Amino acid sequence: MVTRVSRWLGPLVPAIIILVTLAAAACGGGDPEELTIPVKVTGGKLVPGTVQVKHNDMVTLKIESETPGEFHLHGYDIPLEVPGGETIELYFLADVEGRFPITFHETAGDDPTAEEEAGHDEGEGHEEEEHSEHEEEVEIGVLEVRPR
Amino acid sequence: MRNTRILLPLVAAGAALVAAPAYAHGFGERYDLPVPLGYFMVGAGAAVALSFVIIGTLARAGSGGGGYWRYNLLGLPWAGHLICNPLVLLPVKLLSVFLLGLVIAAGLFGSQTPSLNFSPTFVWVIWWVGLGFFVALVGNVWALINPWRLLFEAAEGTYRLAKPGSRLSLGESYPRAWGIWPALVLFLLFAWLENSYSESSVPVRVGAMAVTYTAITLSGMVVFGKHQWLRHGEAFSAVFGFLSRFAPTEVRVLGGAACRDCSEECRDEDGECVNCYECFERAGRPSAVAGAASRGGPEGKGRVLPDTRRELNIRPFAIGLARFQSIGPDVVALVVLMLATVTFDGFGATSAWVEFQSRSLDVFGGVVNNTVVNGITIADTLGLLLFPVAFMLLYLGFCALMARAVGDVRTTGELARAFVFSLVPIALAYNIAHFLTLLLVQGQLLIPLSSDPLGRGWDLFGTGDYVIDIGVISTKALWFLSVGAIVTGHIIAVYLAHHTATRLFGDRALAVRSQYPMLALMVLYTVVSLWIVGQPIVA
Repeated sequence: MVTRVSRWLGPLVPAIIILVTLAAAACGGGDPEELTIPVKVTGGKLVPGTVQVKHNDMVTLKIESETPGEFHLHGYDIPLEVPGGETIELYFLADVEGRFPITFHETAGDDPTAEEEAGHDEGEGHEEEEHSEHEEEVEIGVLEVRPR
Repeated sequence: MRNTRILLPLVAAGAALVAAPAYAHGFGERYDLPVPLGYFMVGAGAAVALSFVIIGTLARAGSGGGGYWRYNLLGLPWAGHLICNPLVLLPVKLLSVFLLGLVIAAGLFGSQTPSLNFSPTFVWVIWWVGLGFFVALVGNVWALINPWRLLFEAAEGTYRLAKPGSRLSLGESYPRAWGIWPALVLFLLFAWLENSYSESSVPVRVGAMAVTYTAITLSGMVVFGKHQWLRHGEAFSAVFGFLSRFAPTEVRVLGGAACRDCSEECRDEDGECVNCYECFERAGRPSAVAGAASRGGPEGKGRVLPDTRRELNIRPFAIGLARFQSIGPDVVALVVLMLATVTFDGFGATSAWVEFQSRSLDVFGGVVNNTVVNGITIADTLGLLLFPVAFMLLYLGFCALMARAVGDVRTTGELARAFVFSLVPIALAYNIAHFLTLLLVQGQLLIPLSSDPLGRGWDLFGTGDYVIDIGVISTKALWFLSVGAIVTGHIIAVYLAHHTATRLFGDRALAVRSQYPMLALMVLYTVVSLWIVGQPIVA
């Protein structure tokens, strides 16, 4: 029995050591950078769908959208009104690691809230109306802030 | 007629779960990066390699009987005094009952935005996740602070004052055949609310759940008696009780007098009465009655049961899962259900499952599409039901392999009963890996919410403006902890299973042979757990 175990252990231990080294190498360090990343909101999707940066990078997202709407970076909680057809810049320090959803709430008219409120006459209280602003939010992509 | 009186409030509260309009958004949003492939490989490799190391070492060493190291805290004069002092326990108990009231009040009457209301955060994050961790890693405080038990005791105490010598309970005898199936059904409903119900974080729903469950639990205790219902019907006493077997603390009653009157055969196959709260309560009752007499020491001078002694022991982690007890299929089913729902909670947030949800949405979208019943909730309900069934079949399949491996000296059923608790550490470890950030990040919401539980703009403790820090734990630390926890859980599970096998078969060679199927199952379970933490969390 014992010999059978050691036969197994023989190749396994070096395998683990190699894997640990690989894992460590994959997460190599480096200094924070200033990054400018163009993204496009098109057909209800963000292109590219996943924006990858590293911890503490200074990030400028150049956002171009076909339609006007509210761009919202969750976690960092940055909302941004995006006009249709133009490019707008979003500048932030990626100081929190994680995987953050980006949502987009298309606004058809000039006043983004007017239509919403009209559609929610039944809302019982103040908070519900506030809340309904976010109801039509669609996740279009994610921001990944990876450790260095 | 008596039935109607009990059922009516349930129906009313149940209806509230379906009626009012609301939504859940932003509550419990997760920002975890998935564990990278490298960590997954290392974790999986370590789990497999260490399994063989353990089996190899244990095969040589063998493992002992049922006894283990214990240290009785009640034996210490100051600690025993402190722990058993009603003045210490009373505020904790009052707080527990108060919190139940607050969950109901805030849920029903507070702001309906989940993150501005005390109830969703308290119930789902602090109580279900946080208390679950505490019970598993420290000890079963739930037995002490269960607010329904306390409410019933208070009601019974008052009733006895008004009508001396009478009991609040109707004293119906609990049908043996029911086992802990009522607790299982209630836990399944709870798991459905947690995983498949689209409005589980809407405050009014949380309030209604609390009201409904309060009504069910109090009715159960009135009909069958407090201990009977806590044992068989109170889902959380059962589930937290299972988790607390991992904990490094236990209560034990020595001396047969207390156990003789126990409503259950509470002693295990080593003749120990461990974590039977009925016996523990009975054994402690004289000192509670003779409050003044007990001041001399926690064991009480005026003890009525002469040869009975209570202990609050420190013990090694996880050893409580290796106790030999005759359990029924109901217990096996509830443990497997627990394991499966824990896994499903994570699996339900992977992109593989979201893919399935959208298929389901395509299929059912044209048929039913309301907030409660729609393609997504149908998919999640199916998942919640099919996962436990698949888990059970898989588990029984591996138990059958084990039975064959040992030449059928034990039946598959016997083996299933003997080994089910040894799987708990893997589920617990996965649960910690999966929920740690939820507790650490979303749990912080309790700070502002305790100042403003109803979301009315109050600032009772000056913490109302606190903004949660989402970067409270570094990603690498989290990855390391997650994989480390799962591998540790796996090792403990393999150890427990081997320990059980050695005792069960008596023969070392047979024990080792029996463990290959079990090992395969555990590796499978661990690798699936690691795979899930390696998947991005998709809403």
